[in-house]
Amino acid sequence: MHTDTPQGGDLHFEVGQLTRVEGEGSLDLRVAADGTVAAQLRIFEAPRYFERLVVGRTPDEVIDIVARICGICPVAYQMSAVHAFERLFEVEIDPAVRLLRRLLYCGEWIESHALHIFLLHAPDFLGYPSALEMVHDHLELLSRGLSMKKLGNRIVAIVGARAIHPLSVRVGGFSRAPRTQELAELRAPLEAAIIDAEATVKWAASLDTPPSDREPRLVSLRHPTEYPMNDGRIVSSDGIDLSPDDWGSAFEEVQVPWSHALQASAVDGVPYLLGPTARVALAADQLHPRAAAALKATRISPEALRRNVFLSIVARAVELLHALAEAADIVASYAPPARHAAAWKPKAGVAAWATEAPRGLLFHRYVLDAKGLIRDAQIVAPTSQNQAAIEHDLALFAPAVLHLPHDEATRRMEQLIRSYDPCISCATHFLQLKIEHAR
Amino acid sequence: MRVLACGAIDRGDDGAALRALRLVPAVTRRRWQVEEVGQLSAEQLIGDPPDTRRVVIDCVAGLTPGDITELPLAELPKLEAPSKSTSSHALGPGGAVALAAALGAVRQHDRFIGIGGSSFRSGRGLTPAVEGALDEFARRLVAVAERSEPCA
Repeated sequence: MHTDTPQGGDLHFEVGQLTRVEGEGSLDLRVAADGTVAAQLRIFEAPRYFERLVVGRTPDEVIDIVARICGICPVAYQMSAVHAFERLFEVEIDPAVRLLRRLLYCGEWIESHALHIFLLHAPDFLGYPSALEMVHDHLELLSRGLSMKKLGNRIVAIVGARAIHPLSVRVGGFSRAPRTQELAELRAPLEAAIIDAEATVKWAASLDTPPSDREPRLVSLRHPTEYPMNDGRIVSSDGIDLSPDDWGSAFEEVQVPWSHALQASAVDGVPYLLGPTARVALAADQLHPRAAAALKATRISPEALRRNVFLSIVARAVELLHALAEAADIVASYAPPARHAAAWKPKAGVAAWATEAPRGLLFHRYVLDAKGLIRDAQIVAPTSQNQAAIEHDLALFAPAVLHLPHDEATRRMEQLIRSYDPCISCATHFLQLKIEHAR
Repeated sequence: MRVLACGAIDRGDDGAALRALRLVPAVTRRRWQVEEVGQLSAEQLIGDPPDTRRVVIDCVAGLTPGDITELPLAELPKLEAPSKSTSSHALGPGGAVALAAALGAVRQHDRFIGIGGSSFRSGRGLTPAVEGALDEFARRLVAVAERSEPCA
């Protein structure tokens, strides 16, 4: 049943049957008689037990296992894990290895951001049900996006030995470092892609975005000299400042009855936002000069990015450009590491670290015994941390669209959900909006 | 010639294409550019010179298990049934081909060879029907490659 205007008693809006690669969920909205809206993002994907699967495993086995959590951002899982172990084992890695890890991460950001911008989010703004329907009218745009995605995959394949679920990351470094010539072959494609990414920022900024106003708490890493990726302190827009192994002192995971995924929240209960918008707002001064210039040329301020959820596509495009430009710099200066992997010895203790996955902060914490085997694990993915912010923003946004025809209201709310690039964003293309009275 | 082998070795019949590749004599395989791509995506088909021959091999649901089909790659989208459990993070193989084709990146000489499978659950074993047809699957791949390759 569809009701155009919520009047009288409570209304119950259900956006259900989300199907997706890594999670299944639905959206449930309840509109009270006074017009206030409560949103619940229901994630009912069966638990995947990765935190239990790694128990008893060695650190290097963990790096391979956690990569399987996501086909889009396996590098992020590997990076948070490997940094955590190296911090506990006090491993000093070769500076060239550190750069290679940033390059690997750049590759993942490129493929993930290109996928989201061009294949998942662009159809929302251009009025198509999917990229397939869009292709005939926007051939050049999609061609550009797929080329960048392909380049991101190629970077991951060269550094990580495989485009999906790479294999080469090891505690202390890599099982193999790429030869200079292998990376040199990326120079020309990267330069071409940078030009495309600059055009992408301009294009994203020209899109007609729905009005939206929010005041989110933003959280990301911040490093004194680098754009947040593998390293830095966990900071927020309102003063949180933590070591990357100390996530638990300001945040916690809670079980909400409507989701199989644990929701992370700040200990003070305030929802917080992760991802490109948070990073650009909190670390705009660390953007690559070409990305900073492109952002400046849009005349969209970091403040505007922060307040309008739909401008996340601009933030993501700026990061796409940043990742390409940083990758080009690393490739241009690359010299293979003297040691592709440093030696290390296991020891008992707690290994914890946070890095920046394409969708935001990814925190890992492991308890190890004296043999270096995992005894306990905690993995806090960005989407679980963004859930509360998504629900909060949907509650704010819904009153503006619930009076619209069924399909249009659904489309607008899907567009908002996809603005976070959650793992469930893929499925929101296929939402069915059900509205029923729940008096 | 590029051979794009789809599937996962540890998911039952889904590993059939990868296993068939191992049955191809090494001397033959070395002439090809073999890529284990997991799930086919559109960007894997763009950017090749127009004369590059591509063969995509995969195990597919819907065919009788063990049956082998060969067709122009461009026809794959017509055969893909709509899925009730579709994610737009990754298009299905047919969607990926359709997108690449719309971008002009699928040519008449690109081929698809599929083998019907029935079990795609975790585990390394193939079902008997697929196991029994694996040699023929490999032979068909070699035959397609021989037709595609220029004479020495």
